[in-house]
Amino acid sequence: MSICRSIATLACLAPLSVFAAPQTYVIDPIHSFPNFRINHLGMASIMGRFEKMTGKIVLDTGARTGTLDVKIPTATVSTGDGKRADGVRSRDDHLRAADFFNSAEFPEMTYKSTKFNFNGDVLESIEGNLTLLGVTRPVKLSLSSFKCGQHPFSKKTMCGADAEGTIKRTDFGMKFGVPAIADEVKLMIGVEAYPE
Amino acid sequence: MGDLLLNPAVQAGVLPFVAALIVAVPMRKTRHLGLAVAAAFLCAVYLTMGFDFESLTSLKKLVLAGVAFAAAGVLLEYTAQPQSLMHRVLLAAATCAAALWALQRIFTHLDMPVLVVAGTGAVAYCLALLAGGERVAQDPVCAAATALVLGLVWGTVALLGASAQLAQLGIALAAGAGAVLLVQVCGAAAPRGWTLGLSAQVVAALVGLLAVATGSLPWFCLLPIPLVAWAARLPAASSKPPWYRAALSVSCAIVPAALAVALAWFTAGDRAA
Repeated sequence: MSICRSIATLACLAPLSVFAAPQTYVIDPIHSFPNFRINHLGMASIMGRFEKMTGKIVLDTGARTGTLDVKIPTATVSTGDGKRADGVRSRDDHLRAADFFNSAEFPEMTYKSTKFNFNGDVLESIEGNLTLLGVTRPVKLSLSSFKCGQHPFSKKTMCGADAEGTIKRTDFGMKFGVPAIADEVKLMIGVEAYPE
Repeated sequence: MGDLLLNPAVQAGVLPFVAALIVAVPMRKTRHLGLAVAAAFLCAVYLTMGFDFESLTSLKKLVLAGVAFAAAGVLLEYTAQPQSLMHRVLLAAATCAAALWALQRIFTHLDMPVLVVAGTGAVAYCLALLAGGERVAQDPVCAAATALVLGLVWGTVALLGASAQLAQLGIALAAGAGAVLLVQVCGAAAPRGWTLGLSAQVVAALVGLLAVATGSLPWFCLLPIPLVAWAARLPAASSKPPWYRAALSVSCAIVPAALAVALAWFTAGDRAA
């Protein structure tokens, strides 16, 4: 009888262990983009983004922990000036050169989280380290939205988030053009991810 | 004043020229006159990039190599016979090693066949520049004229196809060489020495290689550059006054330099990713 009671207790607890298990999500590169905004000459902001972002998110909503590991190819930077008809070097070419992202030498920048901050059940911010141009600095991303649910058409489980942050590019050794091209860069990242 | 210091022309041209003059005037009768070029280079580095070496990028390695070869030039004045084969071989090896070291992180991202070709090309380019530098080393006026034209051509070509920071370093090299040329033209030619040509040739070599490796400059824009020193030495005018020799050397050296600029002008954008 005591054995049956033990088995019954374990059977009742089993579903709770499923909710507590960490889930790994793979970032969907077609629907995930890191965008940035930077002030130019004190006049207006130039918007840009990186065309590719890959990585994994491990989320344990039960334990309120997680990890984020992201890679961004620096050569995919795009600010809407990719090639000029007169053959003069474009802004995107300049951004890939040694003055800015130096893509030939540093083809990737990475972000690895160190802490997930939950407010109740809601993921509020992520702390981590950004490595750019061989320099690693802590960067905190605040989540303005975070949601998990079903894709309306495929019915697949998915999660999505919008995150924001600010960095100073000189912290990473990217000094060219300061202050005419601002030191502060605002990050706006949209992510969608599916379970692995 | 702050705005003036942020002006690229001031950072790369005016202030490095002044720094070079400050060093060149007291050194004008010594074999260390070439340190004025190093002073101009370091002034530009301070104003544009700073001396933060937390991340040893290829550009930072270029700076370190320039400083090292300027120091080596000073040491060689006290130790080396200028025409010693052993010293020439060692310098060639050190220059090629510096180039490969500066490009090392870029090479790690290349496939092996491309890496072999790129490495061989980099070494060949360094040796070609050094050979030209040897040709002008015996004539300080010619050496300064060569460094001036090399700096100008790299300032222009790097701006067209690669990096404004590399361009600023090239212009600073030209500014320093211009100051050295000015003190010789206004006075007398300096004694022969290692310092004038060595670090300028090495920095010119590295600027060129980095402009191709990290920017959108096609490799064949490098081809006319080693001819600059050979062209500068063409006019046989050793008995003429320094100003005449300087004008002739610069005029001849400008021809291959102009060819390199023309190649960059018409092709630099085509290598875009």
